[in-house]
Amino acid sequence: MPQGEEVFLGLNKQGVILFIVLVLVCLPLCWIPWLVDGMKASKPMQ
Amino acid sequence: MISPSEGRARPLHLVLLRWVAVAAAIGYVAWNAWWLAQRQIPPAMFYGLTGLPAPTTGGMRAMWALANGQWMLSLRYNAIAVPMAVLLGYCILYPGVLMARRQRPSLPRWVVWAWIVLLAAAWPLKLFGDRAYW
Repeated sequence: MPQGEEVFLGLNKQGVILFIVLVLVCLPLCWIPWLVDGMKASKPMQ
Repeated sequence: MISPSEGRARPLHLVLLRWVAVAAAIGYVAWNAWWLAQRQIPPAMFYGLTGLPAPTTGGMRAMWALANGQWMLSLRYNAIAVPMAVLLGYCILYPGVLMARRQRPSLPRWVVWAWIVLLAAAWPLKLFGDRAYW
């Protein structure tokens, strides 16, 4: 279930941290945060 | 009427995190554009910046060696390549099946933990393995 405030492109804090790590370390997987509900934000950016 | 969220300053760490994400995305595009402009295949950004292999480095070579029956060579290129390939296949197929059934594509949360475990296992094996196979 989506949770938390949006930080970047619909991702919450956890999702963005995972995205940054994946861009640097393993780019072919950097799309995964957008498919995991727990990494998506429930509240839009203010 | 003012809602509770209005006028509330956004926490600094979230603002910073957002800009780091933007910088990472722009940096990746710029890195690849710079190499492609020189008509060269872009090396992995992590390897280019640090000189160290990433957890998935050698994965394609490992799978190619395995396809040619050279399983020892495959293990030397990347010992975790096969489990990572299986998990990657799941990450592509599962949302694909959901979309084919006209459902919203998603992945279960355990997938993130499975990647963390596999990448955490693959990285030391790569770093402390034979440099000739980096």
